[in-house]
Amino acid sequence: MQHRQVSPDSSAQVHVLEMLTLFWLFFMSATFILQLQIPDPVSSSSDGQLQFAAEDAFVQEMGFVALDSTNHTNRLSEVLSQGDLNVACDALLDGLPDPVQGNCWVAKNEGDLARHGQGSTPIGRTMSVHRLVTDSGEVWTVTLQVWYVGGVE
Amino acid sequence: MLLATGIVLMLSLLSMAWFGVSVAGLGDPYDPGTDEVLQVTETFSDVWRPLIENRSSAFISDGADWQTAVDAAANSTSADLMRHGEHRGVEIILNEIIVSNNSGVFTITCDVGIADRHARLQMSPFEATIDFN
Repeated sequence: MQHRQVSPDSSAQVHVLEMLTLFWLFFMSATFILQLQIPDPVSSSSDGQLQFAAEDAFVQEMGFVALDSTNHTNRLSEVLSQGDLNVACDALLDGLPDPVQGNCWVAKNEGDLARHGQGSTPIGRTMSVHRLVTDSGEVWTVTLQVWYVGGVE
Repeated sequence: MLLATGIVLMLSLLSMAWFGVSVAGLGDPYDPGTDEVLQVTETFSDVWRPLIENRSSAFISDGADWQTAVDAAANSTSADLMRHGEHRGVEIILNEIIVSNNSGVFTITCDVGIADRHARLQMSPFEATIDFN
């Protein structure tokens, strides 16, 4: 039975080691020198809080009983049907928690969305939550565009 | 010697893999629109009949006959709901809107398709009944 003979000359393996070590050092150096600016992903809970803030504002406002509860289902639809779009939007925006700001957009029936109420210029990423409000055969698309105060990219 | 070579090789591969994961693992941002089709479908189901009923009553109060009133109400309601879908990035398609009259009991049927880039939902036929008696 023949046994494999180990070559006494190990210089070839040393070169392989050198190559791999240098390659590794080079690669690790490159990771520090070539800085790729990779942002951390935005937390999904962060966006979820924005969404819930807007939805809570809708739930709160649509939970108020209308002054004329015979002809209107809730306070929001009552105000919208009276044409007080700024009042309706301000009430919705007031329902947002402190760290969240928003703009309110309303479209009636087939109309275009238009901004109403007190709003401001969004900073950073925004999120939009939509609701369809109906009252006496009329339809409003109400959109709350919300973002964090100071903005989050 | 072979063990040392393997360790170095493994370290280099580990470094590359780590770096690759950090680049690829940017994570998908949370998309609140993933359930828009379901929400719009629920809204559509809730408002379709009351809207047509209210609008038909308004048209009849203005002097229209029952058939004309229901036709106009169904068409305007579908147009408004499709527009609502456009506002929120959901396509609402209403086909084959048929209004049938059975002694003052109107049945409105239509094929409804609601879709966005995440999902598509079809309700066929979607029916609403309005009794003017």
